[in-house]
Amino acid sequence: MSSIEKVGRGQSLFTHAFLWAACLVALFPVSRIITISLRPGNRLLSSDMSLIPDDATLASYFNIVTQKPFLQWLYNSLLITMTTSLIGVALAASAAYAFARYTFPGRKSGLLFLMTTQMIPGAMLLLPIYLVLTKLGLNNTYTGLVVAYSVTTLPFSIWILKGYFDTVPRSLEEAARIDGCTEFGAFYRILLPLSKPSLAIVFLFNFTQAWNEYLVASTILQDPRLRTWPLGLYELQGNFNSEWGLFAAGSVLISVPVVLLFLYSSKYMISGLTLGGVKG
Amino acid sequence: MFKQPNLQSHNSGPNSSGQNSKKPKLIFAAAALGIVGIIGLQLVTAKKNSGGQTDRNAPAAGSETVEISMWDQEESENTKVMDDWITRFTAANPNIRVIRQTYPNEDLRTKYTTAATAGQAAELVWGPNDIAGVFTTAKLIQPVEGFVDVSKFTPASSEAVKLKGATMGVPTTYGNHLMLFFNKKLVSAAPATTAQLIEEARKHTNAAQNKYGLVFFQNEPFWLVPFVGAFGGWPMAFDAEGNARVELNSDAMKSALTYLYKLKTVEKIIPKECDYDCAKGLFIEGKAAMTINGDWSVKEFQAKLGDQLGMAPLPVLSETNRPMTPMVSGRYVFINAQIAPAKKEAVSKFINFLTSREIQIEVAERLGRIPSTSEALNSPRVASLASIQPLIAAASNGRPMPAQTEMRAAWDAMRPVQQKIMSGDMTVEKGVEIMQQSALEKLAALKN
Amino acid sequence: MMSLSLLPAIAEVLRLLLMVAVAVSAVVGFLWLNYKYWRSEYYLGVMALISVLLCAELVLVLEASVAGALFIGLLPLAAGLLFKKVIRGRWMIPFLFAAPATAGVALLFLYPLVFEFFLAFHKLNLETLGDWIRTGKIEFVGVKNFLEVLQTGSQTRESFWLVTARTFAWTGINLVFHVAFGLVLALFLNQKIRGTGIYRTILMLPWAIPQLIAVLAWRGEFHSAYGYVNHLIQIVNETFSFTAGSSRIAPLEWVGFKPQEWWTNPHALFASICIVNVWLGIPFMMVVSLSALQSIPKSYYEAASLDGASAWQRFRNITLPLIKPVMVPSMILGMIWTFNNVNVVYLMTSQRGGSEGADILVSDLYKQAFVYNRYSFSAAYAIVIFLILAVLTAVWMKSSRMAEDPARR
Repeated sequence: MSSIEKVGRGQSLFTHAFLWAACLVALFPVSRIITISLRPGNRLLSSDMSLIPDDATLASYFNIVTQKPFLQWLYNSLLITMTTSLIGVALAASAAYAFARYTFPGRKSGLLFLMTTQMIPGAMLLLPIYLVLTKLGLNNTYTGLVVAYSVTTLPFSIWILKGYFDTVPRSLEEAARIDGCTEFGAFYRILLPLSKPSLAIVFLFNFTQAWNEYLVASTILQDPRLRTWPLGLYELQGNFNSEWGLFAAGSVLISVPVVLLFLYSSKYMISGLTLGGVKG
Repeated sequence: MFKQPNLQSHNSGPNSSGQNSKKPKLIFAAAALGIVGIIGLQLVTAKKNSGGQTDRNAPAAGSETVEISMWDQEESENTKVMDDWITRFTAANPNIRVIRQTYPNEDLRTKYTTAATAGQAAELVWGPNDIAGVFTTAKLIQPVEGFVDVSKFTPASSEAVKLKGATMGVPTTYGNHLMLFFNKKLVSAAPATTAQLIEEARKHTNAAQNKYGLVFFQNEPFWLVPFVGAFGGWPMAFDAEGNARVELNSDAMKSALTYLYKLKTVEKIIPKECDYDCAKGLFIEGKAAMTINGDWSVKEFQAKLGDQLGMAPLPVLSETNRPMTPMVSGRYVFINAQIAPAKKEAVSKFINFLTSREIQIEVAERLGRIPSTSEALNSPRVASLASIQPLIAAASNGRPMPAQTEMRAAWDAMRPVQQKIMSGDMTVEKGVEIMQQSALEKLAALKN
Repeated sequence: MMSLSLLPAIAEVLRLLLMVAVAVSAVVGFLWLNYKYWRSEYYLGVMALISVLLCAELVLVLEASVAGALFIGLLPLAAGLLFKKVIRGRWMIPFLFAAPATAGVALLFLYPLVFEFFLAFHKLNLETLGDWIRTGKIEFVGVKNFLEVLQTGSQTRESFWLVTARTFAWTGINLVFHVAFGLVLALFLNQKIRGTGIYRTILMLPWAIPQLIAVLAWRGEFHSAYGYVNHLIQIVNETFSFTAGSSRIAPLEWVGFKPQEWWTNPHALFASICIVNVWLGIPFMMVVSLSALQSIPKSYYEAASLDGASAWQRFRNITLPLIKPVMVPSMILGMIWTFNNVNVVYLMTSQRGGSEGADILVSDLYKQAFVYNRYSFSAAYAIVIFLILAVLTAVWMKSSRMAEDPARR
């Protein structure tokens, strides 16, 4: 890590104070969710303001695992998300390679189109995507969801990866090509291993998108056995008699693995997010 | 700057092969045919998959299994009971499979309309009566007369899904109406009039301690309507042919809104801001003496408050000496307009099962709702159920909730205005005008 | 205890992977065959044959409409002509690499766009929905939907221009705070102090927590009686108020700093949505800024320090110009995302589409489409929103000279 300069004592104190305050704000809603999950019964809005309620109980955690198909939701989400991320990264990487390393007609307009897709209001794609997937017989299947997710994240992934590929010197691939390596070999053996940070970012981006997605999932899936966790949790906080305690407990359980994954990969994030790329 | 791509050199391979002898041409032809085959196969299988929904039930006769889907928006407590019914039904009818799924809140409607565009919607929808108006306008559901004998339902319960003379849904439960709940520890007997209620509520209100005499979802029009009724009005008027007309700009509406606003600002017996969860939370915690809530909450309140829970009809409005009139509807089963002919018999069987005497008595015993058929309602078992009688009493002052699309436009028009009036950002006079105008505009928007 | 069904799911995933592999190799293989044989004398003939067969199959076996069948069926012939006349064997490698992604994007972005354009000029709403499903026919209404979108609105429905103005305010406020806070935090984290790792970890939380969960939690905190926000405002006010004689003086309340009815007052509601979205978006900008900062060589600063440049001068003359190339694309992307952020607004303004007065364009659009079933109207609406955003982006890119070559190396 390249830090800029040595810091004076007073300034350092100020920095710590500021960062502390920022952390408090960042942690604030998290602590509240935890509080609610520890409350007995179904109270989200209670006038009780303590961090850990006097009558704290783990009942909500126990109940959501035993009374609801919570583990099934998690499993479904995990499966869909992992598959999506793998396919998404593979498709994006190969397309980004073409955009980063070759000139061809339609390259500029292709990149521009990818940028424009980000401007389409997402909700509007819902109905046509549903109709397409139904025509392909992918309604109510994991496959339909995976296809929808891995394609909708493609534009952003391609941009990120292209930005990073641009910063990787071409000389290495050229050397490999001279040694008799095919284009695919140069891409797969030389470029991809060098681009791990950005691949990790794109994987993470695909992962979180698919992990948190609700609208498309609720449109495509019908079978309760296929439900992902957002559908399940949303149902819990759904009707007039909301089961808020269960919702909060489920939220905590679901957030933990994603947060861990996120934080683990945060070191890649600093080096992998190269949208324009100054490094080239 | 730009890489001069080594384009030409890469393509030497493919280019040269074109000039080769016969062998590649054979490969070429074979490959082309292969592609055609693959595309064809892909398309045919895709067609089979998507068409599966209708295909698989084509021959209903014989031992072929018929699948019926039913979508609902019930809470998990209720769906457990419904699943039990379905298990019993399929045990008696082994060639029918019923698949039930829950979609919370608005999702049910959104999901159903979206699925309908691709012909994938469920055969049956179990939901509130206002679905009838929207789905009838969109021609997504059909009248139920051909599936079940509608004369067996209590007039009140089928009234809430009558559209231009046709019954658009099968009543399965009756109620969904507001009533007064009180905490017996704080209030000894239910107030019969609003004057008594206000007097009683004042004793228990202490905003500094976050204690209130009365709490309810005060910004939601559903809670406003009983007051409108008590002032002699109603959001909807009907002509002789059963066509609905929105009537929000009425004196009764003005009085009701003024009354509600005064409860907050003059009588100060309700919180400054309180939504559904807040009202429920305060009542369950014992910080609110009374609450107005629906029959759907009885079970939960009973579980939390036990013997301390008191239930009563909404009080008589002292100003007009008329009872407050909650909207009454219930749960209904709607039938997809595009149901496969082969499934009709199965659907009819299932609906008749849901409205049989046995199940309707269970509606009272297990769901804690009022049965929709006269037969079950008048049965000695239901008459002897202490848990149901207060609900029936509270429903007796109610009026059926209009199912027309007009009502939906009215709800959407009332909600924001009611919010603004309650927060003091708009006068009642202006508010009702806007409500009416907005409802008409929303109605027009729904239709074009 | 519910039983888990694990195996069927895995079987489906395997089938899915196989399917994707088949689809990818079909697309790539098709292209490759074209490259291989485009010079053959039979090439065009075979492509035409494929086209004819495809059309026949679509019409006869799949009962597609003739127009649709022609459109899809003639694609191979078009591809053949393209190869013969334009491509002529060039650009094989990039095309093969980009093909699978292109096919996916065409299927799930291009087609939906065409579909939305079609809807925008027709009349599909609640009343015509049933007929459209049954007959597939809808009335053509020209630009009527667009005119309706641009209406200045009435007393009841919020005017399009008002909502647009609010959307601009929303985007501006969010972007400024995202970048300002993100950059400041990044500058602090880039210093040589203890515990930057832990700070960074915690500060990333708002990004890491699933949005649905975070927003619903925030919504609870903004409740006027039970939320922490009003509670906190009260405490702050108590701290800064004093009693002079018999009257209580609370200077902060004079500038409007007092407990609000966040859920019902539209202005407060809008403010609360902004606060939540700012909270959600800071980590992204922080990470982007941090990565930009760390790419600046230390030697620049050392040289500047030797020359006696102050901290502000160093920031002004070294840091800012050097991080700008990374920050601008991220900011443009941030703008697009904020502009189109329906989730936060929708979840915060009561999920049943109740409160107006805090809607931005996309949340209004969502309501029109899925609450009121105005499919055609909302398709036109979406196109208008898209155009606004496209113009905005183009102007910004032009002014930051990104437009010279969007595909800049």
